[in-house]
Amino acid sequence: MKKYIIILMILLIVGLSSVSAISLDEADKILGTIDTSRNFTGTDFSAVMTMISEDPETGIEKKKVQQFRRDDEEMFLMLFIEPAVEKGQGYLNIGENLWFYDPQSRKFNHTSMKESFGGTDAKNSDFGASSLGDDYKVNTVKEGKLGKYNVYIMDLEEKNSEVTYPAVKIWVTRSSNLILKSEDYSATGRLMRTSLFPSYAKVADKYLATKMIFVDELIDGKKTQISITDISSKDLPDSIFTKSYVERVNH
Amino acid sequence: MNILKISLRNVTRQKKRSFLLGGAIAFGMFIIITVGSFTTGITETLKANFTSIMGGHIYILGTETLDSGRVVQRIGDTGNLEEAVKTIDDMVAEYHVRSQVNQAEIIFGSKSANMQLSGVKWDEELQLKDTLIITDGSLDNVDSKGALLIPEKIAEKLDVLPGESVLVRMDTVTGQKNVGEFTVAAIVQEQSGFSFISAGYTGMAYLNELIGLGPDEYQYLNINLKDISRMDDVAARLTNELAKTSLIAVADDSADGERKRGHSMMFGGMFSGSSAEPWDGTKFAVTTLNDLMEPVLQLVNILNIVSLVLFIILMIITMVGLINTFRMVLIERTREIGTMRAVGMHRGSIRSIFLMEALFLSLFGALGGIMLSLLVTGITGLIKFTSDSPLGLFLNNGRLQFITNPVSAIAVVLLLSIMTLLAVYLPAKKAAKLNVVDALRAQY
Repeated sequence: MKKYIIILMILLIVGLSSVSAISLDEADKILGTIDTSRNFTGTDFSAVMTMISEDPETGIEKKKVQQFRRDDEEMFLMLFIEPAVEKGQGYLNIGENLWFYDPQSRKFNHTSMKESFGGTDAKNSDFGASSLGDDYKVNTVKEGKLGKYNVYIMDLEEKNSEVTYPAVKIWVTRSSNLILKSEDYSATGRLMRTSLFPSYAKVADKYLATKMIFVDELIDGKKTQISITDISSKDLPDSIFTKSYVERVNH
Repeated sequence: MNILKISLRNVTRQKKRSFLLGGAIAFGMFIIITVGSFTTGITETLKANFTSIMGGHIYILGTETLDSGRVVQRIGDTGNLEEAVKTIDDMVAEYHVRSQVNQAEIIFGSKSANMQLSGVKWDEELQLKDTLIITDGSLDNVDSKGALLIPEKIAEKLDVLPGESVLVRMDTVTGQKNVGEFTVAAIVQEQSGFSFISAGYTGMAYLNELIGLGPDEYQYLNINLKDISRMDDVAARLTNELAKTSLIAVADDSADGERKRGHSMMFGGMFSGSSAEPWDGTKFAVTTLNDLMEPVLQLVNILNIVSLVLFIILMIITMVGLINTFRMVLIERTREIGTMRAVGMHRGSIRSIFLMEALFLSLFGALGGIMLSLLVTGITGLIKFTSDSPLGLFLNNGRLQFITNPVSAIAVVLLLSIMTLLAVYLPAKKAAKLNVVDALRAQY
């Protein structure tokens, strides 16, 4: 009898430990909090991104990108600085329009937030304003651990078809609502990409992931690491978020 | 008959001179016949290649607006379309529907490659089955879910064999990321001329599932006509029928014209994804093989014009040579002309001898040029190019095709004959008008 009571108590403890301490509504609110903490509202943002892509077929590639953001107006500009062959290429986002600029042809071509950024494992949507609260709803949430951190593990489902991945699983720190890990799933439920955010910096009351790792789960050995440096929240001239600026920078 | 015999004898009297003049004419003929054969050959080859890869002569593409304002490539409104197609039924050999992913990434282990992936209804695509050349595997189980046909180049790159499983990463019609698992059923030879577009095939039902289309929906309806020469008429009729019940994308002058965008979408072009003015139902864009080939046909026309201009310039130069030659001939044969006139030959006959001599020269030259052209094009047509040759688009089973149009050749020979007769007319007339006594007394 004693043995059964002990077993029952162990099972209860194990069961309780995986039961969420928060409701789905609260989890949905956390998504909104994540967006608020990641989006630079009321201020501009600029930084330099160093991207190292590893591809088993093409080897290792290094790129450097100058990033400018104005999240209040849904605008960003990403200009390639290195390597020389890609220097001057850029992605300009204004509202719902995203263009890719090629200095060789001097043309702006429409592209999509869902497309790969510069041929890496990152997507264009990874660099715009965060809108998890608008785009996803929480299906399940439970508490867990990721390394030494206590996290909420949330399964998210798309609210609209504008998102890149219909289903996402995120690991969010309980103390500060920072995403440490994200798994992106296809419509068929297959894991397509894992994103890791091992370090953050605080910039003007906002949290910015200063290191990001995107792992392609479909191709063995393919991943992209991004480091962010030279971070600034100083105001930027309006002219930066225009096509003419992109052309002027190049010619 | 004497005139003909005399003219023919005169041509062979001065062999070197006749050879040089005839050679110049032959060269001009060679240029124009060869270029004409080449342009006709590539036009026909291109038409055949496009028809094979596109699956038809007329292509109907549909777009719809979602509630979010996003424009997607989809024909959900199949009823109106199928009713419209029935009105041209008597001119249709075959029609079939397809879905397509322009940039599908096929993944095998740590290797990946991009290709165009078409979803087809195998029970309806008999012509496609016939044209595919299987190099490994078979089409026996091609109807099973997830069966995939991949081109040789892709199979080599991925080092994959029939029976093995691969993943294919693609975008849905709304641009979201998705991945499907497929089994390689067979490896096919690159479709002739399209080595720059690696194309794979799978069942439409499964592909629709992956890209977010309903089981009865599709993206293209392709029509094979019984008579390809009526392509534009049939397309116009079909467009008018469709316009009675549905929206039609109309070509306009701007670079953003939807019909032009339709062309580029068929070859993997980017789609902007949003529309300034959403619409209800499906908007159709009707494109023909001629529309797709328009840039090539323009190039072919330019080539033909250039070769014609070159031919005319060469012939003018040759005719100047011919005029000077026959002036010399007139001087050389003054006494001979006097003799012929003295024995009773009429002025008209003298004139005819000169004209016939020049005509024989040009005809022999023309014949020589045609023979040379047939020889060169025949030898060139035997050369087999590799499947990844940049000429791939213009190859028929790996070879350039030359088609000599007999009507065009005859027309050119006639033109040449007229030019020759015109060039030689004045010297011939002068020869005919020579005074008999003066001609006999000439000391040349």
